[in-house]
Amino acid sequence: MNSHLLLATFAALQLVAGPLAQAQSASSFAGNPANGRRIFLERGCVRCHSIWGNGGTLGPDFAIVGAGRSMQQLAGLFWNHTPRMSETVRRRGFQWATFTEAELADIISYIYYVKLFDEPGDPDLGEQWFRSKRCVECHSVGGSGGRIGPALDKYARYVAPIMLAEGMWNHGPAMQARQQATGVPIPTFQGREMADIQAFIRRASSLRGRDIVFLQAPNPASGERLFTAKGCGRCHGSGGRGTSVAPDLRSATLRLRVSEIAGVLWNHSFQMSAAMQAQGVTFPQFLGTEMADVIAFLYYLRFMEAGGDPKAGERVLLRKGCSSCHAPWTTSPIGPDLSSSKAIQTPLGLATAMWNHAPAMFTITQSQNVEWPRFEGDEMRDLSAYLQALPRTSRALPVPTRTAPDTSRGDR
Amino acid sequence: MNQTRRDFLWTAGATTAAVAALQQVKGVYWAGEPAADTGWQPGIETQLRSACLVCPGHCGIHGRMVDGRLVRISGNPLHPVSRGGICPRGIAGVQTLYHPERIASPLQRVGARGEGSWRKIERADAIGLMVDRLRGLRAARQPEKLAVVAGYCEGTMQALWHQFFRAFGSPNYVADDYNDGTDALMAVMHGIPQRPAYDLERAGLVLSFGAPLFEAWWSPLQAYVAFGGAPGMPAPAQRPRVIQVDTRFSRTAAWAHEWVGIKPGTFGVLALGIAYVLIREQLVDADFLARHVSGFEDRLDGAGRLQEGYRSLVLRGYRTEEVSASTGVPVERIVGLAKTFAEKRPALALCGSDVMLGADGLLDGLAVHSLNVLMGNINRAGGVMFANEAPLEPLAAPAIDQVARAGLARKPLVGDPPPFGTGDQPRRFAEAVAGNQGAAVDTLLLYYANPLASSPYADAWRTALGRVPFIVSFSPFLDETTRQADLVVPDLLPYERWQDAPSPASYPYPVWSVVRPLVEPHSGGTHTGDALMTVAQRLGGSIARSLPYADMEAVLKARARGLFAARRGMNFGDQFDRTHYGQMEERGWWLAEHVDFDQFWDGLVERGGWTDLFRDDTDPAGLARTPDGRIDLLPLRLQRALEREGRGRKAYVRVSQSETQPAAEFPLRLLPYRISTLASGTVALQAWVAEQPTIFAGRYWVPWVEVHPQTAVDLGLGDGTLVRVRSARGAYRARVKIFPGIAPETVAAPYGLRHPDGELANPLQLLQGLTDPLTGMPSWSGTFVRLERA
Repeated sequence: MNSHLLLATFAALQLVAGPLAQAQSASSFAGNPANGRRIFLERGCVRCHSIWGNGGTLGPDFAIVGAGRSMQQLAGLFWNHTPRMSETVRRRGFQWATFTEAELADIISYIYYVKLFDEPGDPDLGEQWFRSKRCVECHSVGGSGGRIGPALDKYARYVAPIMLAEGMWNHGPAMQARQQATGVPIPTFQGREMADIQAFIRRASSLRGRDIVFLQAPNPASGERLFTAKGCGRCHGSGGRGTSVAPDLRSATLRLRVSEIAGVLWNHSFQMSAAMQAQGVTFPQFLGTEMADVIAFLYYLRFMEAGGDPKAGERVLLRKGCSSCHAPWTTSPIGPDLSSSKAIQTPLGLATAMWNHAPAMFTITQSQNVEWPRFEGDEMRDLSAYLQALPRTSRALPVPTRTAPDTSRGDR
Repeated sequence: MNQTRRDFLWTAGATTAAVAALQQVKGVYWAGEPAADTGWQPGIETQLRSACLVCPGHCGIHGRMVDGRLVRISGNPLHPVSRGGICPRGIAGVQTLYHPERIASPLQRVGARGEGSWRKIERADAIGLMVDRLRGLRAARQPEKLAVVAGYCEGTMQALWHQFFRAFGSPNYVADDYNDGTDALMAVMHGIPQRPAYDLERAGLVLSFGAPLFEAWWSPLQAYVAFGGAPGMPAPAQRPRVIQVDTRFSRTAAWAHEWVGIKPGTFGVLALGIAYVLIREQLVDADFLARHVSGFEDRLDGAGRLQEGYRSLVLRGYRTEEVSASTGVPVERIVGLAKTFAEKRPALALCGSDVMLGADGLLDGLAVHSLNVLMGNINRAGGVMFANEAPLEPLAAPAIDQVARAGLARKPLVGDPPPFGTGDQPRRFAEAVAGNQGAAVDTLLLYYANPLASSPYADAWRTALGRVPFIVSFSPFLDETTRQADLVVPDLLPYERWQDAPSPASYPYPVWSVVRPLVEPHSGGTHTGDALMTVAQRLGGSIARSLPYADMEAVLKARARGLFAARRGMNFGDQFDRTHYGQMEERGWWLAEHVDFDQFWDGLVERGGWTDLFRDDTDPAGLARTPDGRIDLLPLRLQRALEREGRGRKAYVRVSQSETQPAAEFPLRLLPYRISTLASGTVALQAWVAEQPTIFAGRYWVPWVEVHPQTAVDLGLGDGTLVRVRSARGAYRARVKIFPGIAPETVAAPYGLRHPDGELANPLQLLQGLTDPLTGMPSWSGTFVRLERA
């Protein structure tokens, strides 16, 4: 993130977004979901799009399409639906919503963020899991169940399963040692099973007059700090990208929600605690909503993926036909000069410029009978890397060939 | 282009409104050129959100001001209950605000009481008179001789009164508000002394027993939104079916999908007839009954004797043929109602005030509400709920000194409450004061109470007022009771003052609306809350410490800190916002949107209030707070109260029971009722409201009495004949309205009307004093009258 964007984001976050914003401002997590939600409403996105089925039905539900994609993939997705959207906007007399770079970061962040939150679990399924995973043999809920472990009624104060997951994590080594000693298989959790169990606990709990605690939206920047402070980075590498002794967490958390990521963590905690014990490292404990923050950090790893392959980006430029309209590759450009444009200096700047000029460009492509270029996978990221590596020049560049030099920088 | 003045005004107005709507609540300058030749000047328009205080519905309102003058009241679409809707009474607030009969300054009586001779005094002098009087009571160690009759008063204003009275040392706070007795009903069955709320929007069927849903219910707008959708929005795809069981073809009956006519006083019998079919056909929620309900099955008591449970009681005593004979509802209709109730889940049985305000009101109410219990429709979507309160910061802890402690230890003048609920406090108070030869009350404060006009016991009130040496009224108008006052300190109207407005009792989620000034306050008016705090400061000591606030705005702001700290809920928002916050909380998360409290408060005031649309339907405390945690269909406490009563009544009404029978002299049963455009006597101030059509087109201004066509023929009366409606207690004048929508042996009369000359036409003042001994609530349907040509 360049300094301008960082400053702009910092200012916006300080002004509007509360604790989450304050925490994020000091980190590399672009965009503020709270701002993004406001922009989503104010710019009229909600007229056609929905979040969790809430909003317009003309376009796709952003909570579904946003799943597991990085910021630049989402930006590519936005771009791809320009033709259809442009038509609809024109037909309905709406105005094309334009964004600043910070605003686009906010809105994309919001779309990405909402996917993190689980739908409420199914208590009937939860009851089934609670029995089949043999939790009931050690733990009681509503006065029914074992007495070896603590009663779980108190977790009925929470709706989200994260506090249950945190409690399990903290007691994990002791619990697993006991299970091993008594021959009870260590349970593992898939999909939404943990959310289902939480829903079952809420239904069955005898806790009366509950003062339900809503958790503050988790803070990935705080999670990043905790990730380091708890020593997770020693094995998983800084940024969770994995080392020879522990896996890359980016793929492990792809497209998952809070309870699912918590399940993944739990499932490998036994192996992890054993390895840590062997190395004399203390098993990390979490307090308050620390685990939620770490999960948010892991969730955002994929979102914030930067870098890109300039060579691949060059091929994207060729395939999409960008060079036929834009200087410096053509001497009679229709579009702006991409070598001198400030917009290309950051991936998000490129995405913002493309979005804001999409209707004009769509009109041109239609008049020239040119097919609308679409970006798949990491093409947008690669293109951005290539454009950033372009030499700043006032003269026309030759149209790149497939043997263009590798100017790759940054990791992938 | 030729443009007429009319064109210009229309265009300018429309543009201004559109711009104002876009800019929400910011000031907009009307930029038209001044027309020099007409002297017309452009105005400055502002729009602000607030809440209506005309009735307990507390709808959100949107005031449009031009040059600081309120010109229109419309609904606030962001309000979660009313969602942009508003009733005629709310709209007519403009008329009240600028009414020529509004009291222009504090008044001190100079002639004899009731003579109408006053002198204007300064606000400070009025406050000084109150302070001197109250200081005297404290010096004489008689703080309990201060009393207040608080009419419609909720939220922080009520909290302030309570706080003041506790610190002062008087137990004589008398609530003269909308009491329908349903809190007693819920206390008996659920151990929760709170009025039930209803999730109408998610119900499949609403079976209303006499609830005036679209007229004078807790929030008619809640009902309109649930059944018809928010104004300007498409009707909801899934609308509940509405069946209205009523003694007359009311406006609600006209709006319902079905109307079931029923004999007065037999609501409970019909409910148990429906229960009979549900049990016999095994349509009840057996799992819910087994897990959460006691008293359904027979049981052995401590002595080993078999105690009949609800099931046996109903199956033995409420066969449909007998129920039909008692209620007048055909057998096949009863069976059909039961089957529909079982099919259209979640089905709600609503207990209206017509049920509770009967001689067997509590027992009838138990029968109606037992249908919800049978279907397990408690604390779940589309069911009966107990609303949580908004997590407001409490007021400062009251400081109680020795004088106050001694005063509070004295017995309140309202005496002992009835076995269940708080009962008819105003009546007990009036009778206690009237019956005491000395001055049981030295200083009586009247806050939005006009019992001489609204009470069924005006005669007792007249005597009681005569025994009180010093009466202060805070009414902005010289109503009947205010005319008996010694000092009048007129309150500001809701459009000029800060206040709060909690959600209506029938709404299942906490709502805290802020009432804020839309216009500059009337120079002669004084906010009663501010007056109370000023008096407290002048009295000093523990009383001043108990109310350490500068003014009402400061109190509200202090209380709102609790909402900010709660980290839940939302400031009012549109449909998307409401759904979004609901979805986040359903998932267990909450997204902070405000950096600090000041930003939160500004947003709250700008949008009109705060709400939290999350509900924990898994908390067992939402079902019952009885000792065993179960809903009790046959509460022991009730059975003991009935035994003590010694009248042979049992926990559910008897099928053949009828509260009273007509006498030859008074052959017609009187059925008073409320309608949406009428209140408790203020309608004479709002001409536009008096002209609003009721269910009868062309019937307004003059009080009427509804008479069945056959009865009219028998009595030789025509439509419009002026008659005197007479009971053993008194009479009033009304015009006959021939109406086939009531039974021949009954007449129905709206409550709240006056003649154009101001003469009261209050059918409640004909009531014969019959009450439900369990709740102490008056029976509205147990009085018989005759019609005489006037």
